[in-house]
Amino acid sequence: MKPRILWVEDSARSELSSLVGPIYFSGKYDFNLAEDVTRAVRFVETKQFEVMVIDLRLPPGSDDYWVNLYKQNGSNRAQAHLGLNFISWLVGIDNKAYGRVAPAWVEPERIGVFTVESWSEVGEQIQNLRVKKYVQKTAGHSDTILLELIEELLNGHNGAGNGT
Amino acid sequence: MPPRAPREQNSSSSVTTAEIDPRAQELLTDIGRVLHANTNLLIMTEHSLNGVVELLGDNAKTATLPDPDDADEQLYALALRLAAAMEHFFQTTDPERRAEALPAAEWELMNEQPARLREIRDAIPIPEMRAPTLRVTAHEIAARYHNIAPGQLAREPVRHVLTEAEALERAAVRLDVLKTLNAIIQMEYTLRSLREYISSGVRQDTPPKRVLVRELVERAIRQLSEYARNSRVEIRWREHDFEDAVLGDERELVRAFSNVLHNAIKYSWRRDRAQAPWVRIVTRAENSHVLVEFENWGVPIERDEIETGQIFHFGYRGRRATDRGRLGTGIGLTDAKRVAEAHGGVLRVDSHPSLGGMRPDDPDYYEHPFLTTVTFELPLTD
Repeated sequence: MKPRILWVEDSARSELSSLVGPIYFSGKYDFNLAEDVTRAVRFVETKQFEVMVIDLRLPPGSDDYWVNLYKQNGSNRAQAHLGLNFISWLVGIDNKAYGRVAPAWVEPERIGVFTVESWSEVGEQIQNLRVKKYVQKTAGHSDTILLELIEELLNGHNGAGNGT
Repeated sequence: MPPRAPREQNSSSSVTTAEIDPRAQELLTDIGRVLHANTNLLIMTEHSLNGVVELLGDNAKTATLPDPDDADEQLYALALRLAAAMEHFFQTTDPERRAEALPAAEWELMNEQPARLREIRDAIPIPEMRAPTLRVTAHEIAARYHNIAPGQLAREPVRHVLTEAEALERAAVRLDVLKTLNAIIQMEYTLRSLREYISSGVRQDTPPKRVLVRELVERAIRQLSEYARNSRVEIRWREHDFEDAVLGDERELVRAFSNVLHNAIKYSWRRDRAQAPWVRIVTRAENSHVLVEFENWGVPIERDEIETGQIFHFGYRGRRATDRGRLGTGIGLTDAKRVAEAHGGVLRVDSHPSLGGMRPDDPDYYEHPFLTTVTFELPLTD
């Protein structure tokens, strides 16, 4: 069976749409996309993923919990950083408020953060979540950047998390 | 509110210029330059992409973004043709000779591609992601067939695969370029409007003057005509002889109308295959006020976002605003509301399902098209 991948990203239809091509062509992965946090939760509650690549600026979707969290944090993707809240829930740090328990199969080592934020902005929070792999979105990346990130996570190449 | 730098006192608060953080002052000075540089970059990119459009056989002046469903159909048909060409290739070439032409791993990968091309719609359910995926797939296939040394395999089946792969790549690139051009035109307006918004705080006050609403609407339409054409959205407005006027700042009002019209174009869906989507503008007078309505059919605005006024918050983009990858800054409506109020008027927003019988607690309530109307209500002047 092909490794199952979840990409949580709301720009996958627009500026990042070309990153999926190399993954599909390789034929090596069962690729899934969630465009908001509510959908991402639904995915992880119904399927197990070998790798999850998560953006930090995410819309909440329809679930009241995420909508309220989004509103509390200023209703702004950049400020809300719901991706961090989602990872926090996934790795079991913040289960109580949501009232739903994250699946037991989740391993922080198999989570990658792919975001526009710089390491100096979010690095400490990412480290606190025990996530080891972080890549900043920049214009200079090739269209294989997502594929490379997935393969590094699968192969256990834990990048230093220092910005690239 | 945009910062009002050169005045001693901001009219809406007691914060004086001297109290504003010096970094905000720097930003105010530099942001215009930064935005200008970004606009230049967009124009440069637009010109380069127009060259690509012409290279691909279109006229850059008339080429428009095709209807997404039609484009998807066309690409899928080309993907099926490429799949058929590859299957024919495998049926008509000798495996041993193939093994001499390329490494086994490459053929294994190629052998999987026809099925993958046929399954693209199931495997990539989001249509916007299919074109770039097919582009990469076609390019990679062509790259491998180009590596087959002459004389190793029958020329015709190889050429057939190459022809179909290049046709698919070309169509996907064309679509990609037209989409990017559309996004550039959209963002170029957004940047221009943002610059106007920011600089409105530092421009000298101009005394209010009598302006015909008809002229304001005409100017807004003119500003967005290229974006509307490129997006294949028709702007419908009948009251060309509407002679009522308002008192105010013409530049600000044109920007406010343009912001709302820009949104209406951006968030329109096609109603049926026979005709292009349209935006309706209605201008009328009522109880000593002028009403200017911008109506579109498409992306919903959720009820609570209107009721709480969230959609007017600076930088806020509606929960449905990123539908089909639409870009934006979340400033246009904030600005439009501020301008309406500064002219003694109001800005109202209504968004409701275009089909009757829908209930807000239906799980797919917001998946259906909504009729959204943004109305400026401004005091009439003689």
